[in-house]
Amino acid sequence: MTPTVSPLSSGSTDPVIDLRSAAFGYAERTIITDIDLTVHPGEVVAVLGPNGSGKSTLVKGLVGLAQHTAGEVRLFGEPLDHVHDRWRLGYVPQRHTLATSLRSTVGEVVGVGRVAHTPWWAPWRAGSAENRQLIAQSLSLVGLGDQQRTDVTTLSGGQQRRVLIARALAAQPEAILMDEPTAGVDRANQQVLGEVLTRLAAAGRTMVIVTHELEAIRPAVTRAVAIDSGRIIYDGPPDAIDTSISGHVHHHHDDDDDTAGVGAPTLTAPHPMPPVERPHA
Amino acid sequence: MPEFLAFDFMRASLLAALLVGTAAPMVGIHIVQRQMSLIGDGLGHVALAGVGIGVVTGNEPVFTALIVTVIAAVAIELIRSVGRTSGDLALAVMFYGGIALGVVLLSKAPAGTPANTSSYLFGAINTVTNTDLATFTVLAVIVVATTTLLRSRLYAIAQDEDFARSAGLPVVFVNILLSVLTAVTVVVSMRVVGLLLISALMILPNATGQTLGRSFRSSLWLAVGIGIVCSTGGVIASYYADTPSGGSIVLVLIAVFAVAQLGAWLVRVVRGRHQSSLATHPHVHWEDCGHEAVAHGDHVDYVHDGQRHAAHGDHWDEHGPDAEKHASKAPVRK
Repeated sequence: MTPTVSPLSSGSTDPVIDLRSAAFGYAERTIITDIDLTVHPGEVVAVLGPNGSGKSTLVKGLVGLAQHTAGEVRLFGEPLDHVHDRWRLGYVPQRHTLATSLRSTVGEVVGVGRVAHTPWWAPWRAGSAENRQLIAQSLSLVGLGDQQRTDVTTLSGGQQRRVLIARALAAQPEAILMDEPTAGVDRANQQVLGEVLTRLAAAGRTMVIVTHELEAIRPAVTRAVAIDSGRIIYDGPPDAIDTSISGHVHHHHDDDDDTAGVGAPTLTAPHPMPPVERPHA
Repeated sequence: MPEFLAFDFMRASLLAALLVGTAAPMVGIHIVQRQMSLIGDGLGHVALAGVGIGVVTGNEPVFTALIVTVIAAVAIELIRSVGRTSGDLALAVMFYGGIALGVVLLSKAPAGTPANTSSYLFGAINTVTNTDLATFTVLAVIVVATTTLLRSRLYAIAQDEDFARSAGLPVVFVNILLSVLTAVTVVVSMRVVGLLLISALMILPNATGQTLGRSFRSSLWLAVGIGIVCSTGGVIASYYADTPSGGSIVLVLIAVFAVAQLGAWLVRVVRGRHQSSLATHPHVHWEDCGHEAVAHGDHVDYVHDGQRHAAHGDHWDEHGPDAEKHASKAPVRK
């Protein structure tokens, strides 16, 4: 079957994400401060930064899991709290496992991506031909087309990450935010994930990928943004980033607990600002 | 016609058991999925206070119990969604306060009321009146209809609350609704299995369903089937053995669970061959990896060093170099 699961496009040419002096955090503290970032349709942006830099909070703020505390945030041209169809911004959370206390098949987990499209008063539509086809196509896009009826807990960590990506795809989002899709995954599976992301990028998907490991996903990425201590310290082509901020984003921790400020090398000494390139500014 | 069907109270008992056996596992599966298996037990404690209030004030105990448990259910979910560590203590105060208040109030029951504490704690199915039965039918239909309508949302939220929130699903509302449905199920079940055994009827059929099922969907339907068979079977057994219905139903549920566990263990022992671990196989086969992929029944084999193998969970099944030989000893795939 040829995968055709595609975004339900609103036909808008507005920036997918548009942040002006935006701040995100939780009740007690602000973690991301004063960020300006614009992501246009078709871009694949890697967001890099050490543990505790706030890159995860940025993604969580955009999907409504962290609070937007200041500044202006627009998604698809609309202010964040006016965005009605939240599924338009897809989300691949940072999870190391899909295991829950109940048995689930891969197809059932991916089917969760269709729930926002299924009215609560018409549960029979969950099993509609259209939904079944979208689930199968999403799985096939991530290379798991033959695993639909497999128990998710028996999949490897790398395969489970691909299930999470398929679940996001099944919701037909206009853009997808991914939080550390390759963290804690062995080399062989990282390579497969990189190829899946490259395939999605080639199909014109808009993606924002928070990651420690640019290497595995570099072919997919059109732009890199580095965050440290809640601020953007680099924004430009992915190839120039290593020389630009070498030393600041090279702290690899596969199993980071993402606790802000704990164990992360903090930048106390002033460092030269790299050239900030904003191709779409 | 079996002789037990000749009695009105047995027909009423069986109908009540059928309602409870259907509704309890349908709510229970979502409670198990949230790892809150004991919530029904806590709400059962609170329900006794409601029964006590009804008996003392001269109102129908089923209605007062329903009101009190629904209020407690909403409070539990609000406490849980705040996520404070003190929430755990708040629940303990609520649960023990509920059962203590119930016992004290029931001791003050006006003379001549048939209510006694143990019939509520352990169930007394043959005291079910026609009014009770009508109420239980309406409540059970509400529980079954609501869980059926919202099943995919209940599943989605328990599967990954963050993702559900990001997709715009009403997480807090659905969680409160599940808590309220649990409260309703507790009240429907209290005359059949008793307030102390209610959780068993919500949880045990799902424990068995999880052992036998291969998906969320199939394990749910197995659980409902087991719930119906065990609750009506338990009532019939209690008629012949002259034992209390609640305890009999729960013992039947546990027996079925034990048999299912044993069966699943035997199946695992008999299989568990023809595998090489993924850990010893450094390469991940998928459709773009360059190795020849061969469609093989409902899955794909990859040809690698003359071997055909297929990913099966966390290991590769060796499917042999030639298909004929393989066909004769094909492992049963999920």
